[in-house]
Amino acid sequence: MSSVSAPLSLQQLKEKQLVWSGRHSGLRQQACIPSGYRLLDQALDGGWPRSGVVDIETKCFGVGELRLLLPALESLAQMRPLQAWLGMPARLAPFPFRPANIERSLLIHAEDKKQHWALEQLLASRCCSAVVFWSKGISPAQAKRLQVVALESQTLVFMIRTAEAQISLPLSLRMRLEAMEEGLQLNIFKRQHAWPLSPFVLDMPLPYPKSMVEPELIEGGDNILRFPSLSEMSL
Amino acid sequence: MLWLALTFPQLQLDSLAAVEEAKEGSIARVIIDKQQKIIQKNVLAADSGIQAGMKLGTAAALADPLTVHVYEESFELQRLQELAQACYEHSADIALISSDTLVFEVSSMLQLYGDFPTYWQALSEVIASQSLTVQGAIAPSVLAAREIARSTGPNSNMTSQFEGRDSWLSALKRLSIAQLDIPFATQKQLEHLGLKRVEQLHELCQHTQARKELGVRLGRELLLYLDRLFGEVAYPLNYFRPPEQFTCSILLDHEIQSSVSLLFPLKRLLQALQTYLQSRTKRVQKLCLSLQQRDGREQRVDSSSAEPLRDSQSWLSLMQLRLERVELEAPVLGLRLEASDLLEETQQTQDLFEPVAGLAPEQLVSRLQAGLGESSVRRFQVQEDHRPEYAFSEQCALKQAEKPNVCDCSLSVRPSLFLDSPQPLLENIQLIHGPERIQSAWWTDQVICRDYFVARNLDQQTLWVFRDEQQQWYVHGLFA
Repeated sequence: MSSVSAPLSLQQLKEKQLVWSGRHSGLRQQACIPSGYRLLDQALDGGWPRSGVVDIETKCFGVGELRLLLPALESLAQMRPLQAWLGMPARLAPFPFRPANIERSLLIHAEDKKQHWALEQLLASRCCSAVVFWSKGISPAQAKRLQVVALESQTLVFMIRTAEAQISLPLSLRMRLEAMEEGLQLNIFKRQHAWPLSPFVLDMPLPYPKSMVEPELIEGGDNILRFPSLSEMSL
Repeated sequence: MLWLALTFPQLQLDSLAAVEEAKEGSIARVIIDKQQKIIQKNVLAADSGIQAGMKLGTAAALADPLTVHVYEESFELQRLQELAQACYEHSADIALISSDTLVFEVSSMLQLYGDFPTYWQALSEVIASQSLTVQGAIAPSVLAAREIARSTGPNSNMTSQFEGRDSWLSALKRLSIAQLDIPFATQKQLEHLGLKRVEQLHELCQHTQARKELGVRLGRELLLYLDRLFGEVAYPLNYFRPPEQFTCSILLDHEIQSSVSLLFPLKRLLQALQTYLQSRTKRVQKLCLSLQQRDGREQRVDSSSAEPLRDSQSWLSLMQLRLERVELEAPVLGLRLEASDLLEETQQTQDLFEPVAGLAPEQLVSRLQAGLGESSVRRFQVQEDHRPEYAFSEQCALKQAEKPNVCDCSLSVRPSLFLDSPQPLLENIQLIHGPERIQSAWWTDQVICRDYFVARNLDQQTLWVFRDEQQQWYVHGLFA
C-alpha cells in the first residue's frame, strides 16, 4: 500500500534544498560599492562588486563612461586612497576629481604589450583600491588571470573598451554602454552568480553644473553669438 | 698604548691564488718586482728552490711551469682596505701603515673583550677566512711592532707574543739593521760605521752626543725613524674609517650574454650590500651596477627605488625588472655594485588593523618605474592658468608637489579627457551648453581667445568644442 503524500509547499521544498534560488545563492559577493546611481544600485542589488573586473564596452569614448564610475571611485578612495589610471586614450584631466583624489591618482603610461604587466603589478601591490584601465583587447586567458588577481587583492578594476565582437570573458560584470538623447543606456549582459538584466536607461547628470542658466533660444530669431574681434573689445 | 701589527708578506700572491687555484689547481706561482726579482712565492715555488730576491730567469729555470705576476702596490692597498673593513666589526682603531701591514690598537679593545685570547679569536677568524699568510707582533710602538712582525715566522702564536709583550725591546734589539725599513743607502752607511744590529743603534741613541753625530752624518730622517721605532715619539696614524660608499665587485668565471642570467651573481652582491647596510643601520635609494666587459669597457645600469631599501630581496626584484629592459652591449665578465648616499633608517610603523597587507605606495611606484621607465609613472600637477590645456600637467610620481594640488573646478565646465592638441571639427554637432569665453595669456605669444561650447555629435559623444577668432571650430576634449 503506497500512501500518496501531500504536495509540498515551495517553502518546504526550499528547506529540503530541492529548490535553489539563484539570487540568494550565497555565492553572490556580499560586499558592494554603491554606484551613486539609484537605478543602477537597484539593478545590481546594491552596487558594483567590491572587487573583481568590471568590463565596460562602449562604441566610442566620451559618452559619460567616467561619470558613471566617479561616485564609486570616490567611495573606494576612502578605503585605500591610491587609485591608478592605465592606458588613457587621451590626456586625462584632473578636473572631475575631488582634490584628495587628484593627490592620490597614479597615471601610468605603458606600451601596449606592457599594460597587462603593469596592471598585474598594480593589483599585486594591494595598495590600490581601484584601477581604471582602457584596454586595447584582452584574451580570455588574460581576463581570467586578471579576474583572479583582482579578487585576491580586493581591487576593483574598471576595464573600458571600445566594443568589438567578443567571446565570453570570465569577469565579475560585463555591460555595454550606449549613449542616448535621454541618458546612458546600460545593457548588463553578464553578472557573476546572477542573471543578466534587460537594458535600461540611466539619467546621467550633465557634465556642467545646473546653476548655469541655459541660454534662451528665441523662436525664429538670430541665435548666433557673434565672436567679437580684438579691436572691438576696448582694453 | 699597545699595538698589534699584522703583516701580510704574501698579500697579492695569496689573494690571487685564492681566486685562481680554485679553477686551475695549484702550480708554482711568484710575484716579481720592477727589477724582475722574486718578492713573493707560494709553497710549490719554495719547494722548487725559489727564494726571495732571486732573478726571474733563475726562478724560471728552477720551476716549470711557473706563473708570474707583477707586483702591484695599489692592489695590495685595496686588499688591506678590504681587510680593515672586515676587521672593523671587531676592532675600533685600525690603521694602514704600509702596503703590507695593518696595525690594531689593543689596549682599549682589551677593556671590551676582557682578555687578549678572546680578542685575538675574533680577529683571527676574520683573517683565517681570507686564507692569507700572516705574521704578527705586539709592541707599544707602531714601527717596532711592524718590524718585529716582518721578521717573525708566519702564523706565530699571538697569545704567547702578548704575554711576552714586555720583552718587545729585546726582540727589537735582536733584529739586524737590514730588517729595518730604512733606505738601502743609509743601511750601507750604517754598515760602514760598523753598526749591524738594532741593539747597537739603540745604545748609540742613549748618548746625546752620539745621537747628534748620527743625525749630522746620516740625516734627520733616520733620527726621526729611530725615535718612532723606540717609542720616544708617537707615530702619526690615519685610522681606517669605513667608506661612506658601498662598492663590491664580482668576477665571473664565464661570460654572461643574457641580462637575466646576471641575477644569480647579482644576488650575492646584494647580500653583501644588505650586510653592509645592516651594520650601519642605513638604507639606500639608488644603486649603480656596472657590467664589466672584456675590453675593459663598462655598461652602467642604474636602479632607484621610491623609498630607501635595505633588504636584498626587495632590491633583487627591482633589479630584475630593471635588467629585463636592458640589452647587453657585449658579454659581461664582471659586476660591480656601488651605492652612495646612504640614508638614515627611519622606523616605519605598520598599521596593525590594515586588513590586506600590501606594498607601500612608494614600493609600487618603484616597481612600476623599474619595469616601465622612470617617466612612465606620473601624477597630476595642477597649475594656475586660465588656459585649460595649461591648467594641469603631469609630473614624475616621486616628486613632491611644488604647491598643493587644489583646483576648484566645480564652477567651470571642463572635460575629463583632453585631446593632445585641438582637432578641427569635422562633423555635425548640436551645441548643448555655452559659450564660455576664455581669453588669456595676451602677455605671451600663445594668446588664446576662444568660445567654448559643450556639444553632442551624432554618436552621442559629448564634446568640448571651441570657436576661435577666425571662426574656425575645433574639438578640444571629451566628457567621458
